[in-house]
Amino acid sequence: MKSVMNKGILFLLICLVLLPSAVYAHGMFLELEEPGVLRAEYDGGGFSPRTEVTIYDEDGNELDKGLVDEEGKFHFEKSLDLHRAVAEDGMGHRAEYKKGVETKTIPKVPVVIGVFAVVGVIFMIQNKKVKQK
Amino acid sequence: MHLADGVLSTPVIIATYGASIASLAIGAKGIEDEDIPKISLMSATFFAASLISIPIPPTSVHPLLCGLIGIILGKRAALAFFPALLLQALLFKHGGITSLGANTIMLFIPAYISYLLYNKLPIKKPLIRAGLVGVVSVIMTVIILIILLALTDQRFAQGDFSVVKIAIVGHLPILIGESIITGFAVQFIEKNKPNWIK
Repeated sequence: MKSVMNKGILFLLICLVLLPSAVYAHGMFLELEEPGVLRAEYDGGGFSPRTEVTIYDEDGNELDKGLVDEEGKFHFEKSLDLHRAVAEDGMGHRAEYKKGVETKTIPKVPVVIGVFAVVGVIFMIQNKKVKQK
Repeated sequence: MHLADGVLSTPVIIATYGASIASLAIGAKGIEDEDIPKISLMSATFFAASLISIPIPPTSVHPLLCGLIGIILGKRAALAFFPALLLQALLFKHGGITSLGANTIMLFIPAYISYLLYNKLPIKKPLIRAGLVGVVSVIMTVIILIILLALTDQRFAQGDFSVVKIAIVGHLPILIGESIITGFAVQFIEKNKPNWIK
């Protein structure tokens, strides 16, 4: 039991160490497609017409707010000093865009394989214990 | 289905974190060595399955598997959901840290009710019994999602694209899929590893 827990804690710690300080891709993306156009999209594609985008300046003052169009895009004045933008679909999905912050994605498949590998190790340890008994 | 950071109000965050800690304590009480592989396998299965995003306009949904996990783990289901949700929040920003309690509870309650329901339903065939439980678990999860969002802000329940309508429409395919997966998976386990379902 102790060794299993230690392995689980070790795995979690490795995951935490591997996290650089960047904004990662998530359930919903918000990207600056071109000056004056932000695009909201779900991780698996598509968007909700209910998605509301709010843009802010460097001091956190709200500059503009509105729903996305039929292409999932939110248009605003190019002259606005966009520093941060938040998109919410009203279903609990939320995405954020920050000027100058790189958006990185972690490939899902290797992570899923890694998680199942940990499960495999847990099963092996348990089987060994059962055999020893 | 995962609630992101910044969506829920502070009282809802505090209340759901408290409830999730209680669910983890209930799950951890009396845990035995042989439970660990089962919990970790269910945790990994949930982690992988719920990363599959299915765009169903006007929203995006993913498999939940709380019916299946609930039938297998019962009161220990929170121990499978919590680490999986934590990893998803940290690695992929699916869900969030402040909403971790709410997401755990949103899955644990339907999972535990699924466990009770599976053991009480007077249907002999595991395929049909588990299939039915799969349907009920999705409905319960959607209801909890709606309640959590409505508690945060009333606007979630307003308009043509209200969360109620979107959640119901978006989860109809999931409802059918979960019913089939839960039914066949439980039938398989009942045949090959009956001790997994106590």
